[in-house]
Amino acid sequence: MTRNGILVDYQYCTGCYSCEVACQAEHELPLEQWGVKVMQNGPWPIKDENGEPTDRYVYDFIPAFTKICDLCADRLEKGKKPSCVFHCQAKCMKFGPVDELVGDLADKPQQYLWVPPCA
Amino acid sequence: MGEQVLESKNRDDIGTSKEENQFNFGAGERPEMQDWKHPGEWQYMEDGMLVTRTSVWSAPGCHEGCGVLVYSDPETGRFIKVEGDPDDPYNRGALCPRCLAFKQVEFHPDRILHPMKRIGERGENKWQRITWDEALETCYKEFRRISMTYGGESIHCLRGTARDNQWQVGRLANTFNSPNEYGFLSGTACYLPRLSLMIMTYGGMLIADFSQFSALRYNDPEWQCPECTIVWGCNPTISNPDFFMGHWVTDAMKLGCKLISVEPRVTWLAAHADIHLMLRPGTDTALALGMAKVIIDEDLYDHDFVERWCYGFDEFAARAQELSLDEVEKMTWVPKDKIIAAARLFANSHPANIVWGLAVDMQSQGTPCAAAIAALWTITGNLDIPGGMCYTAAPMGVDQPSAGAWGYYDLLSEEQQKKRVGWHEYPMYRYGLTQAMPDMCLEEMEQGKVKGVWIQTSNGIACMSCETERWYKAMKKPEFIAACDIFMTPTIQSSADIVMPVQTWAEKHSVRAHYYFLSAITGGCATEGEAKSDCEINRELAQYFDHDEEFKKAIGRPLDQNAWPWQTEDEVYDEIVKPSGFTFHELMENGPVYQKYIYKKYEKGLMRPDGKPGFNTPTGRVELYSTLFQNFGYDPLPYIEEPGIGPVSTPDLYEKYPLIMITGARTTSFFHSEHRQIPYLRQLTPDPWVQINPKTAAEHNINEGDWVWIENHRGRCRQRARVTYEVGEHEIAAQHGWWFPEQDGAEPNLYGFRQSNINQLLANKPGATGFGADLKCTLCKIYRCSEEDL
Repeated sequence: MTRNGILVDYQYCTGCYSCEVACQAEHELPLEQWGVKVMQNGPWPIKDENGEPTDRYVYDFIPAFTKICDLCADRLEKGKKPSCVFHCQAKCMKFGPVDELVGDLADKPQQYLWVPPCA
Repeated sequence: MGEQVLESKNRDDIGTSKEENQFNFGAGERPEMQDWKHPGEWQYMEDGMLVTRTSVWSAPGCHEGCGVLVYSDPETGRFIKVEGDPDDPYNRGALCPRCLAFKQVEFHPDRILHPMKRIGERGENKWQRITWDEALETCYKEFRRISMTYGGESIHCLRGTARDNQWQVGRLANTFNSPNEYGFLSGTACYLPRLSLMIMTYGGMLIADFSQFSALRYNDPEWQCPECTIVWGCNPTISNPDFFMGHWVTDAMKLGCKLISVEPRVTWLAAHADIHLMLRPGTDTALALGMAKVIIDEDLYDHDFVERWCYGFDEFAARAQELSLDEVEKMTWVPKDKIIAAARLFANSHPANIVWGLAVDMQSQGTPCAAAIAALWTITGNLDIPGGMCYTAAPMGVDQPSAGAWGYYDLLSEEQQKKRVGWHEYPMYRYGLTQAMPDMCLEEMEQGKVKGVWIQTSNGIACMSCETERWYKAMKKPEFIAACDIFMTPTIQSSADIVMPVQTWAEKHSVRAHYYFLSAITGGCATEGEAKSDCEINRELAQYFDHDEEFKKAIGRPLDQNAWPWQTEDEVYDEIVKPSGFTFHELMENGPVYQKYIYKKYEKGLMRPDGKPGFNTPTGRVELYSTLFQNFGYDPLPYIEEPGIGPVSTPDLYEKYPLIMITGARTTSFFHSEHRQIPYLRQLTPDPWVQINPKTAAEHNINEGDWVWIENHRGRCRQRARVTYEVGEHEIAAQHGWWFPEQDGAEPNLYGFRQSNINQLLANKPGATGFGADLKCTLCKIYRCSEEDL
């Protein structure tokens, strides 16, 4: 069986939270339940060799999928993308068979591939 | 090039016509359509659900107008869900959390579902359900009495940052014979400083071209990706500002566009910029002129464009060149070498554009600031070219935004037009939206001159009003106040006598017409309760006035002139979309529709009413030196002025209040004061936050999540500390628009609208032109709330 996953190009994730709410709305999740939750890293200044902060910052958002994510199985049956991927404003998520996404993963840095337990 | 003679004219005779106030080019004429058709059906069945293609505007509010698909139950008609429309060129399927959580708006138990009248004192939260007939008849009798007793101008019609109801509120005011339509915002410091500047000196409105004029988007062969964009005083990926989807910037970054960020905070975009100019809030003009100086000194400007199409370049150049970059560095806190590097990158990139935001407007010198920034894209030859700065269109000839002035020029006598508050004192208010001057309106209201108020989906005292208490008290004075909204708000609760329920965007019909494309807003689900659209409420109320000969005679309106001569709301939309050649129902089936966008219109005689090449300005050129400003008695060139309150202008206050306060930063959870009662959205931002730098927080013994007082000489409010490097050591960034729908709604609490209301620290103090106010650059101090405060 082909495993499916989601490839996230987190270089362009801006932290808009559309994926989080798309998931909650799609599955009508109760509050404080997430199929995907956006984690924030930064901003924090990168320090130079003397330990002094520079004007360069790390500021990343990482959509973190949880084990209750089912890749929107109901939508997939109807030929639709998972709601988070479909509604992503930065268009930085891609759904597909894992073996294909692995190829895309090699194409550029700052990406990661999520494969849920249900896949 | 056509020229107008200005010298001989009196200042009151300038800017009086609709032709001088050109908002979008091409209004009223059907342009050639772009060869593109939406591939889907406008309505179809899917999985036992009825799907309707529509566009989102208000209510609740939204700046964009994204294409969406509304799913409803074919039997009951009730809303089921909303999805982005993948075939809509504007948002291409993407949606922000506010649409995604919309079901919780549609079925919220607190929605106003029936007209109600107040049965206790104002603010007691005692309401009684009434019929629509009673609500509208009461409004008619009261506004009629007030208009005929005190004059139409004594009725003020309020809106928020309106979308399609912009023209609906304006036309209703005009129906009452009032020219006064506005929102509570000091200096109308939201786009209007930029807008009026562009209309006066560029003869139209400009926006960064990220291919949104074409339905083919990034695949349009005529479009070019900008090589560099400056995101200036704007956080578009979060705010999705003014018909600009912020992620077009990240799309362009993926295509190789370089990014310069002009931003006091370390936003995500700033952290990912090639150059980040982290300026002191309110010093943008100095920075823009400093960059102009580099571009001119180093001869990086477009000589051909400047010589052929600009007026006053030499004077502008002299103004920029008299600056020293050392002075600019000292003033803006931006290192000189970064200013030079940014100026070079921008000028050497072609095409290049600027995505500018509210920070330009939210300083008292918003107008000269806008002029200085606009000069950068102009002298580098980026005007009206693919990937540059392009004129917004009246989509398919439909001029809906300046239809904010739809009734103004047609329904009001010239005498009545000039009774618009601020018309005489602030002539720039004749350009852009024909709205009243809010700071003067406040004074009129305080003096008891305002007798009636119509509030259409505006929560003024919780959101836009500086010196909140003044507006709050002033709004107790009018004899009659009626309001329309989807939820009860502190503003309605404290002041209104009648409240009427409004349909959501998913329920109503309307038209989305702005800048790029024309589309129908097609009601895709059944209406909850007895709500009606803003347009329909206004149309029905207007019928009373149109059938009242005595009223018409009293105000001097011809007996055969009806303000709303339409039998249904769809007939209103037929009238609005008429220039497009479509009926409203044809538009439902065909929308969105795009016209064929034409670049370099000034070369082709498409910008001016007389059809000559050039721009719709007095000299026919882009006026870097504004002849209109000169005539109105303003400095014709951009000039530098310190913010009204700040480290330089008020050192005494700076000693007591040593932090510069930025306000109004957005989240994706809320649209201004809206959405606080929506669970999925409130979960994203449960409390009002104030960003504090870790070093500043440590100095004040403040930890993440602590409630802190933010205070200055005007007042204080409390928000929760978010300790982050997103803001510098010298600044804090506080949120706006907070009230707490879960709290007691009655006086004196009024949903706690004072508790976290940052506007209590801000002044109603506009800039010299009447535009701009220091809302993102004032002073404050912070300290932790004690236990008993909470």
